[in-house]
Amino acid sequence: MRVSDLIVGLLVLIGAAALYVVASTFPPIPGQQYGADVFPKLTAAGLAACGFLLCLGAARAGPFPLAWATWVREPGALARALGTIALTAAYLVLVPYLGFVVTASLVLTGLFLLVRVRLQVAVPVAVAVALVTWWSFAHGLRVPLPRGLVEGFL
Amino acid sequence: MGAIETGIVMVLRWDVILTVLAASIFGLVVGAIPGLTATMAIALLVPITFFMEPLPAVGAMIACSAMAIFAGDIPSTLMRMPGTPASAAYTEECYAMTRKGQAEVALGANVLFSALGGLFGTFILILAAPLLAEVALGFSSFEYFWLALLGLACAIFIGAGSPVKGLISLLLGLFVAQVGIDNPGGLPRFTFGSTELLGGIDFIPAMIGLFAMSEVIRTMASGARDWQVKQTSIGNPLKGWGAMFVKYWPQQIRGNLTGTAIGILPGAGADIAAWVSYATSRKFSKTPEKFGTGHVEGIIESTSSNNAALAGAWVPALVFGIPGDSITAVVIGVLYLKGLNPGPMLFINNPQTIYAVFTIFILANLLMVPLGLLALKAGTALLKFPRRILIPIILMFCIVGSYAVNNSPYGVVVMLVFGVLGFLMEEHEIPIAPCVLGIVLGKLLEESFVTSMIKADGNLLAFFERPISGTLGALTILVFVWPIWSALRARRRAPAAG
Repeated sequence: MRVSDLIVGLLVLIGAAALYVVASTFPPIPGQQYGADVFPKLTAAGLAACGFLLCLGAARAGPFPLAWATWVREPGALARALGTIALTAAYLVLVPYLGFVVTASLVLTGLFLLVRVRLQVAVPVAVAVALVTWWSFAHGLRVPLPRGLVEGFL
Repeated sequence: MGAIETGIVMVLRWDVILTVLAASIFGLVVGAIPGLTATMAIALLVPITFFMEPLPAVGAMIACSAMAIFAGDIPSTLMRMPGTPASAAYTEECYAMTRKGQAEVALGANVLFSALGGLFGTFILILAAPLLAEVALGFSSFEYFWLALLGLACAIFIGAGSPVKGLISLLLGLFVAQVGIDNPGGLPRFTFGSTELLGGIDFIPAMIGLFAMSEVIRTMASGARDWQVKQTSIGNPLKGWGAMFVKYWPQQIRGNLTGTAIGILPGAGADIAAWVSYATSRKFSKTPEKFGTGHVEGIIESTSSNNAALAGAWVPALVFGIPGDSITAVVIGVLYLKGLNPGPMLFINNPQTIYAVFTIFILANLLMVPLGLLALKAGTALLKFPRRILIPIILMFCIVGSYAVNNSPYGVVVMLVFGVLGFLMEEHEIPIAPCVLGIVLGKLLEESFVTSMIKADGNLLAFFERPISGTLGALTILVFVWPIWSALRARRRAPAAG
């Protein structure tokens, strides 16, 4: 999915302004000319210049669509992208309660279903991958992956 | 025993050799899968290297990146899809050879000349790094400031695409580096009250997000369909090695030299080296009309070049701690974690480790020939593995890897945020590499600037007063001014011509 360079440029300009405002609140180092605010302010100035140039370039290019998409035209593409992000976020929310193996199995099954893997393939593969990952990381590399419903039995 | 012998003995241990072998296979697999880059292979490898001794960890990264860059040529040749961006320059040429039924010739050339290119780059690394390290001993904050800025400038202007978008990416990276309390004023910046942000944004989860998660989102969005492999049986790739070596040695040497030089340049790596070498090859060829029709000449020059660049990129990384490309940007992070802080002092305090690193480079490039030939045989089978199964598994690795960095879900949050950011950036043709360099070099740039200003009492001209600093400064300014000047000149010429 893509929006016009004009919108990207405007977003960069807004970001630059916010950065400058926050940086202005940083107190100077006593007795020094250059403190903690110098680099953020320079970054903000650079971003503002780039945002302006991007808008200028987009405006000069003449009539343009505000947003267009290559793969979004394909039905479901946006849903699959958002689904992937949502499932990763769901992992973060669920893992403290359900533990690694159950959460990873659920998330993987969800991801497989998003790309149309059949359910009877998706579930066993998801569980197998979750178990192998648990054993290799939690046992092999001693990473304390979150424990929950079933990890005590593994 | 001298440092060189100690270095070699350090490598000849079963754990080091096994790690190098395993990382090589991992690199071959990831490199051979289109969309999964060498940098992504390295980013996914980093969490595992945490649990290794310093030398196997570094060895794993060297072997993995070298193999991934070579393996990118396999899907290029068989499917017209570059496995890594470093193969993109000559994908059409390789695929044209496949259409002529000469896939084995193209792949054979890729194995042989990738390995030779890597060995040449290593040779230059061995010669140049210790010499440069001696010069670098005299460097102060002024020189480091310019070196960091030069690396950032090269990242924006040498890569293809819009310099404005490159600059946006770079500034974004610099902003990310500013988050946290680790700054000249010791002041919490952009932490918004979060204790986790006080320590700054974790580099490794950010890398996994930018390089791996973003690709996962993109592939998932496109439905993760399986690839179509055209030529399934490959003949003998060793056929014609001798003849190619004799006929195209000047192209090979030129590719090696160009690749190493571009690799050494801070900020530019294997991708750019391959593009430049392919163009050079065509320009100086006696038969430029054959280019694009399945002619091996350009393939030899550019496949030599991208592997040579890989070793070249380690020169500034080891000597100055300035990454030569995005792979070494990640490697520098690992070197710090392992207590092998890059810089000239590493050559004095720890020469045996440096020689061990050189030995691993040689070993990895020698291993490339047998492993590469095996990979060619396995390549078609690998490409038939269903992508819709593979990509979700990669996402699970991203999650576990980001968590393992600090054993904290904060790493996964960082990975997710940067994954979405990287995805949106690439959708808008904003390159990712300058952002990564900005994150890596941001602290060095700010620290060296503020330290220099304290020394010089705020006098900006002090940046030009020392001879090396002045030269580096002039060079950096040239890199910034040159593209603007040439753009203006082109604009002035255009109306005259019109």
